[in-house]
Amino acid sequence: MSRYLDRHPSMGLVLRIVAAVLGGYALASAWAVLCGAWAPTRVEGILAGEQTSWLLYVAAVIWAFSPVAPARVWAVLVAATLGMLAAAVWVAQRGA
Amino acid sequence: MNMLQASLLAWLLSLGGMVALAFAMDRHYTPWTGRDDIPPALRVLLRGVGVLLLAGVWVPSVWGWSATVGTVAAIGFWSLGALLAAGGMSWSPRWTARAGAVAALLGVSGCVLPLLLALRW
Amino acid sequence: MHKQAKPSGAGQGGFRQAQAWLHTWSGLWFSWLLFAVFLTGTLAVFEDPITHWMTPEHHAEEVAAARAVGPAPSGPTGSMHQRLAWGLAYMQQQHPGASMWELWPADAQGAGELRVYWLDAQGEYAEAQLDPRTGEALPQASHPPLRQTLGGHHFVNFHYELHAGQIGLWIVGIAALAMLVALVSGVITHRRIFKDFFTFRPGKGQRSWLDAHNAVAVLTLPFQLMIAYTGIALSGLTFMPAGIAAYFGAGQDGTRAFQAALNEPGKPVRSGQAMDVPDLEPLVLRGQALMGQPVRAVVIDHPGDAAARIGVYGWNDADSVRQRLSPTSGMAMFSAATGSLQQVRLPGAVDGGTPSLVQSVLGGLHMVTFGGLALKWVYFVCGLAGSAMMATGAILFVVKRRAKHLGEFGSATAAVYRLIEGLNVAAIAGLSLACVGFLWGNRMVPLGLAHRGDWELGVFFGIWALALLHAWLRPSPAAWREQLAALALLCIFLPLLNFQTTGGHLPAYILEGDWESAAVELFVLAAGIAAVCVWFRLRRAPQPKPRRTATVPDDGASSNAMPSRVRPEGGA
Repeated sequence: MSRYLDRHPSMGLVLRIVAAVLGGYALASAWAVLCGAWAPTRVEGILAGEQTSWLLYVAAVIWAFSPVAPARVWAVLVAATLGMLAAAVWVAQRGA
Repeated sequence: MNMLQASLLAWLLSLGGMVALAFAMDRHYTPWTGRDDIPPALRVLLRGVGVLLLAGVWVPSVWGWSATVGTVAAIGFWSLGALLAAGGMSWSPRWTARAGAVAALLGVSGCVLPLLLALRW
Repeated sequence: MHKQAKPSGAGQGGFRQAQAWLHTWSGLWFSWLLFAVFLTGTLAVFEDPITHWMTPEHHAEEVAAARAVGPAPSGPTGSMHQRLAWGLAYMQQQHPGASMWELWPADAQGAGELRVYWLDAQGEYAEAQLDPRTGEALPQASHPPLRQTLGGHHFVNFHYELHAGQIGLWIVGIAALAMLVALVSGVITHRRIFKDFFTFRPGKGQRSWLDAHNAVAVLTLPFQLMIAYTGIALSGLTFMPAGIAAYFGAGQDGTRAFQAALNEPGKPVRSGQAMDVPDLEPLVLRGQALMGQPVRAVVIDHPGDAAARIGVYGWNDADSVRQRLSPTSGMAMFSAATGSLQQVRLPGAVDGGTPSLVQSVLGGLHMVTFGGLALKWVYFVCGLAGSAMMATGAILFVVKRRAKHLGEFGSATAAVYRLIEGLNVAAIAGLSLACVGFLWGNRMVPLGLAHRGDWELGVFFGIWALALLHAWLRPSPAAWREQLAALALLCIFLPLLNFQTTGGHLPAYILEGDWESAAVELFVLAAGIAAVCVWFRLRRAPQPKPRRTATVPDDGASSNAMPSRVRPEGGA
């Protein structure tokens, strides 16, 4: 994979941009959903989650463009997003 | 203290503080005095004065507005003072130094005098 | 080894270097849009004074009314008691089945207009205005004013949605996030951020542009970070619906359910039992005492039902502006059946918990609802600094590459640079031209024209489009000089145009105490003088040095921006 990207650097750039823009958004959204699950008041949790999600989004974009392989960026963002969603489901079910 | 007075004092203190901090830096001290390095004692003094003046911006800000609004105002006045100090330094370090000193004096007296008067009566 | 095309710099080198790449490109591609959003946002701080300058007939009417001696010919306006009674009677006669009635009985002094609102059959807001002397419904304005105009609200609307509804809102939101990324990556990249404090060395070409960019950005950094973040968070739930979708369902229904849960937690359900709305005045008096504010609005949920509740909302005064970041007003909620107090909200507080309060504060921070005129000026100066940050950044990009062609786009690089240079002129000089052109349009579009406000908007966009065309047709240095000259002329001659078309002029404004109109003209004049100064500097500036290519030879079809020929260097 990394040799392919060495020969096609523009593909690496595209992967990074997609990871940053879409992956970052997905991560931020998952965070908002998680906050909604574990807050004492659901509506307030959703609001607080959205307010803080932007910081996470910016951090994700910054990290996606640091000296890390694009494959790793994808792996981490996908794993973190799924992890947060799973945690949200688990917390919500416990509370329900 | 009304909002206009508070603005003026906050801006004067900010300008004084920022100019003091600026001259505590080698890069700006050297063009002003022609000397190579700023003496350590003077650097500590200028930095101390600068920090005190900048912290002091908070006083008229809270006085003229409130704790929350005043804090936001103080941060805004720091930026205004910094912009003016930077612009002034590039135009004329000498005149900026004078302006900073005058601003600091006016700002401090503008805050301290009303307090003293209030205490007296 | 034979050098290949330079790999893209994303994620290359060390952390700082990679962030420098991110800062350059996330900054550049959004710089033109962001400059427009930022400049119009800065002007939007003074929306009301600009509208005031743009509606001189309205002002003249008000002045004449103020000068009128004695009470109005048909008698004094109704007392609070009468106004509330008239409003209630009107609603009971005209809209007995509406799910919500809203009365705005008077201004903070107990006088002024009497307006009523209700939710119609589609759940939309509807309104009517009643005569405060008789309680009779006033006919809707039969025709718009002669000088119908968007006024300063044009800048507000363009700023947050580009006059393009939801799509425009999203575009601006995306740009705002890019701004945050550019700010953070810029700080990371700026190694000597403290050493460079207060540094500005003019007359040194690229060095000066970098100094200027750093100075305006770093010295106002708290403001820039705050304004970008609050701008996103203001419409945050629109941009980030995941939470609502997950727990309340996607689409309009989910959003409505969420809003109801957030904003109306204590709202009662209809009981089905009929009951007349009680006399409002005692509740209004009690509410005023509890809130410490004069009444602004009385909202009745489920009027005509026994489960109705009555909310009394207050007017924020100059003191609220001094004390609080959150712009909410006071509120007291009563049960209609028993008159018992259900809820009191003091001014600045919110109906929900901390996140709701934070949301209110974020809104107040972005729109500078607090602090009065002084804070508006602080925001205005910081806003100009932010606009300068974007402009100097975009210009720095071009200046740096005039000295040394960096070949980021392979053989297309020269063409891309040409495109960017054109966009710079159009976005910076061109947009400024459009803004002052909007004011020219206000004075020149014929009065009484149908959709006059849209014509003025057409002038704004038309001038901007022409500027874009001009920027691409002319070589870049000439384009800058010509557009700056046009800007200077439009700015400096605006007061003359104003005098020619309306008879208003600066000395008269000052003598009358019309500081709003005076300030608008003075600022435009100052902008014109600044444009003249820049134009003079551009005229005296030496011709740009010939561009040296790095490894990729120019394809020979040199962009007509460069007056000298390009000389390919070795290594190809």
